[in-house]
Amino acid sequence: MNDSRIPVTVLTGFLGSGKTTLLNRILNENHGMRIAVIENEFGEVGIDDALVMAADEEIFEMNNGCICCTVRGDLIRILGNLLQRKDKFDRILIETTGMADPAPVAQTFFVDDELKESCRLDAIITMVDAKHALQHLTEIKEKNFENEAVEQVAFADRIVLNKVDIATPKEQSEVVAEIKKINSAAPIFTAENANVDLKELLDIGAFDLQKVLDNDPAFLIDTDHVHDSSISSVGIELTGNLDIEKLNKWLGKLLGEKGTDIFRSKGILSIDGNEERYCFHAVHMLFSGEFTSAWGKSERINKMVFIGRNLNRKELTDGFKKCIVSSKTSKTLAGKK
Amino acid sequence: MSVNINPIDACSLDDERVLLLDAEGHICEVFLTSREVTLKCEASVGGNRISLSPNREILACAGPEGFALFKSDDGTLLESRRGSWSSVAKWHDSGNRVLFTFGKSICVTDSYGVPIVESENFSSTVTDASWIGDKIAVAAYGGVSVSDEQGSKFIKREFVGSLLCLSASPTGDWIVSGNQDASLQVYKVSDDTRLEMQGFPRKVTIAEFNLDGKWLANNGADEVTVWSFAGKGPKGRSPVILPKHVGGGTAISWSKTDANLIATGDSIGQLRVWDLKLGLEGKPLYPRNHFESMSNSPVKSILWDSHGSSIIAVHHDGIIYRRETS
Repeated sequence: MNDSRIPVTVLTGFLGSGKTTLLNRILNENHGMRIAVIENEFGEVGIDDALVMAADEEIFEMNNGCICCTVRGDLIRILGNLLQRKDKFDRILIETTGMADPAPVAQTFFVDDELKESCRLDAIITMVDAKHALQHLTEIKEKNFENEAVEQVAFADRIVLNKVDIATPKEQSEVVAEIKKINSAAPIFTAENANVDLKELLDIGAFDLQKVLDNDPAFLIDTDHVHDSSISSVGIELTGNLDIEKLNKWLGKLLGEKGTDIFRSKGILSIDGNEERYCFHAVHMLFSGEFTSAWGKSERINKMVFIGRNLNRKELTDGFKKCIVSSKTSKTLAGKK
Repeated sequence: MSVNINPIDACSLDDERVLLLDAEGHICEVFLTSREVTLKCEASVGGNRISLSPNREILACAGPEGFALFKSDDGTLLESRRGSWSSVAKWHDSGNRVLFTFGKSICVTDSYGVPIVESENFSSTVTDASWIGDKIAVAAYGGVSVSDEQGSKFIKREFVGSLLCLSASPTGDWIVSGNQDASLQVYKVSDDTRLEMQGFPRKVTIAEFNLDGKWLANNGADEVTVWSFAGKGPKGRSPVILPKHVGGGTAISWSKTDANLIATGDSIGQLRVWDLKLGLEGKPLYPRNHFESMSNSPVKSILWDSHGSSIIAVHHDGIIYRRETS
């Protein structure tokens, strides 16, 4: 089914990582699209055919019972006006400041009814400076202070490792290893001067449950994880069919209690008694899931990834295993595992 | 008839002429009988709201990049201020001053744009503001603030949430905010009483008192809800329900001549008029007029004529028409 909603790409990255360079590249590319850009300050990008609007990063806590739910009030206002214009846009790009937490941007598209109806969050792209990022990613912050560079990597659906031309192979491999420790699910594209193929960054559908399915292999990437307080990712891959009630209860409890620490979670799951794959993704506590395509003859394997802070692999895996129904009581047809 | 812009707000110059504003800031004048359309002026600040002075001579426009004032007869720009988001332009009843929001502050100017009051910054961008007599009520994240009669000192009534719209009762007794968390907050002006109406399925973007302040209508659901503020207010009372709208009320307009008449429009272009005299608390009301839809585009504005006998519907796709209500 065609989704006529306007795709929105969020561009994050630490100071000097090349966000504006990439933005200018996207706008200058001969793609024939009308693009609206929401950026932090006027004047950074200047393209005749693009509408540029300035945002002021007003982050509001929501009074909806979700303790980590925040929205960007400025985006709701600006997009509300943009969407009513006669000149329609094919795409919207939101550039965040180098210090921004991507969560409020993503959550805005989960929370606001009008934006949900008119726009679809396509992906969060994080630019990383291959030469200088390691010092930011490994910086130990004082208690109660977030490491924004780490959070931006943790939230990413795609990572552009920029400026590889000025980084040594050793520097590159070190920063890649650090990125993979934080977020093993996001593909990394290397670039000089942000010259990455735009097909890899636009229309990814990272928040599109059907496309999550197409990008399934990304879930398989996993790294050795030692439980500590740093931000990391945990991938779980298990056969068996899940009891939907137990799963909802477990996920509800998990995200309710630890949603502040779990930045992103995604999954393709085999629900007992159901022929379709169940795809879901969440940003902190905000959760969206639906049944998508049929398993058919393919093997029914559950794949999940959690990205966040203080993740306990054993606890997550054990909790997940408890949602699997025994083969004796499974309603799923024999032969389809 | 149809115009070549996508209106987001409108006001009546008189019973024959309507001014339309689009999001880019184009302001068109529409002659309903002759169907003539002219571009009156272009607000370089873009468009969010327009408002005509009570004497109909000055047009105030608020937009994403600031606010502007124009002469309504020939569209001459009188004054503009750029640099911050502005979503409110409301004239004082006297017609000698107009209230704008401007980023995190409010600004009151005279008819020529000369500043009379400029507030200090509130906690975030001001989303709505309203006159309460000579006082000013301001909605910004974290609560509603009410000024003294000079508009200089503000006292804040806190509410942890993002406020989207605000309405002050003509009696000056109540202020109501519609909120991003799908609630209505009701503040009594004379004391600390605060009521909360929760449970709407969507955020509340419109809350409007009627002309005598005894009714308040809001969106936030497929139906429009109308609360009685007669006597001691809405506490313990159920609202009258104006049912079967789709996608929520996108336009709510009280009659200027009959306190019980309200017109509502929705996201698929449905247009209705209701008579609250026939309403029962907690019950759905049957519409007095249920008009055949001329457009399935959202109704952005409904304008009552000066006699209260007809309404003009403005749809986002540029379809405009008049319907008799009596």
